[in-house]
Amino acid sequence: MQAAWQAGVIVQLDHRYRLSPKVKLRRERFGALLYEWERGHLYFLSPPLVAALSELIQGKTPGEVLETSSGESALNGSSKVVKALEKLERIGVIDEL
Amino acid sequence: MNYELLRQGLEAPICLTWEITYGCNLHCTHCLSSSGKRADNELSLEESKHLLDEFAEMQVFYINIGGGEPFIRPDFFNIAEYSVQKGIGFHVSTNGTLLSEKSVRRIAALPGLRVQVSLDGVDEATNDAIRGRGSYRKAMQALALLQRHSIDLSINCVLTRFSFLQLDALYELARTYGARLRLSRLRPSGRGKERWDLLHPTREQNVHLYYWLREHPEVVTGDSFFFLSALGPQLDGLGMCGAGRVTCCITPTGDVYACPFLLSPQFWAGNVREQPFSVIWRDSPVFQQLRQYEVEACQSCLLFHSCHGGCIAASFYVTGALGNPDPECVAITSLNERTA
Ligand code: SF4
Ligand code: SF4
Repeated sequence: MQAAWQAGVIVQLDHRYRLSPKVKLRRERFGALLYEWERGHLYFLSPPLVAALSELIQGKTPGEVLETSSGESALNGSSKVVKALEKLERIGVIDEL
Repeated sequence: MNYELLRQGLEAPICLTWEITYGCNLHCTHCLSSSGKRADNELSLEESKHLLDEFAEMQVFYINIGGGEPFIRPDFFNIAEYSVQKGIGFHVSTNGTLLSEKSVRRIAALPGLRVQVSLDGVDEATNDAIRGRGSYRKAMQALALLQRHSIDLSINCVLTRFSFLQLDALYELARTYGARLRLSRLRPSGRGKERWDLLHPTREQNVHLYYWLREHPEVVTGDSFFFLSALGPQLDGLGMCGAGRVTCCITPTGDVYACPFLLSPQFWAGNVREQPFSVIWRDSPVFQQLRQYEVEACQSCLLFHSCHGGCIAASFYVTGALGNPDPECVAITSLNERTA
C-alpha cells in the first residue's frame, strides 16, 4: 500500500475517497465553502484545493490528482495538495471508500 | 482574511432564519418578532415548498425555523419533511409547549431535524417572569419527551442579567437532558426594545461571560457574542456581523430582511412573492450596501480586527443610527486592562 511520504500524512495515494455524507460543498467566488453539519463547522477552500477535491470526488486517487496538479513546482504543489487532502481526511470531510 | 471574503457576501446564505408563523401561544417579554396571532397572508404550504426548492438550488446549508411557535402551523411537518427531503438542515426553535408523544415520534423520523427548546432560566420563577406562567413546566415536559426519543436537542437561553446568574446551572440542566446549551444574546429588537435597559447583561457580566465561554467551548452561541472577542482570543465563530452577507431572515409573509433582529423598513430587501429569493439575495440594494458597510466609529479602534464593530442591530436600535459601535462594546476598559 503506497502512502504519501510527507511527515504525518495519512492519505493513501492509491486509494479512492468520497465526500463525507456529513459535508456539503458550495462554490464561492474565492473557491468553495465546506459545511460539516454534525458539528456545524465551516471551512474555506482555495481554488487549487477545490480543483483537487473535485477530481478526488469524481473518482481519481490522490496519486492521480497529484499527477494532474499544476500551477506550482511539482514538489511544492504536490506537497501542498497532499497536506490539504490529509487535513480534509483528518477533519472528516473525505472518507476512504 | 475570512472577514473580507465574508463581508462582501456569499453566493447564498450559510444559514437563514425563516419565521414560518406569527402565531404563538406564549407572549414572551423579549420576543424579537413580537409574535401572537397568525397573519392571514402567511406563506402557504405550496409557497413554502417553492422557497425550499430555491434554498436547495442555492445550496443553503441549513435553515433556522422560528416564529412565533412553529408547531402551531398545522402543516409544520409537511414543510419539515420537504426540507429534509431536499437535504437542507432544519433547525427548529420551539417553546416546547405543543409537543406531544405523536409529534416527537414524527420528529424522530426526520434526520437533519434539530430541536431547540427555549428556556430563560433554570427555575420556574426566572423563566416564567419572561416567558409566562406555566411555560417552564411545559418546557421541562417537552425536554423529557425529546430526550426519550433521542432527538438532537439544544436548550436555548437568551442571556439576561438575571439568567446570567444561572449560567452554570443552565449548563448542568442541559447536560441532564442530553442537550447542548445554546446561549443567545439579547437584542433590542421587537418587544426586546422596551426591555433592553432592564434586561441586558451588565458589562461585568459580559466580561465574565467571555471567559466562561472560553472554558465551555461545547456551549453553542450561534456567534451571538463575537463582540466579546475584543477581550482576547476570538471566540468560536465567524467573528463578524453576518446580516445580508452570510445570513438573512424571511418573515411569515415572505418579507426578506437582513437578519431576524433587523426587521425595520431600512433593512427590508424584498418579498419572495414578488421576486425569487436568489435575486433578492444577490441584488437587493440593502444587501449590497451591507456588503460595503463598515462601522465608521470603529475604524480607528485597535481591536477592530477582533469584533468588526459588533452587532448592527444592537447598535442601530440603541443609538438610533448606523455607524456606531456595539452598545455593549467592551473595548475601552479592555484596552486599558491590556496596557496596564
Ligand atoms: S470600538 Fe468598535 S471595533 Fe472596537 S471593540 Fe468596540 S465595537 Fe469593536
Ligand atoms: S445584526 Fe446583530 S444579530 Fe443580526 S446578524 Fe448582525 S450581529 Fe447578528
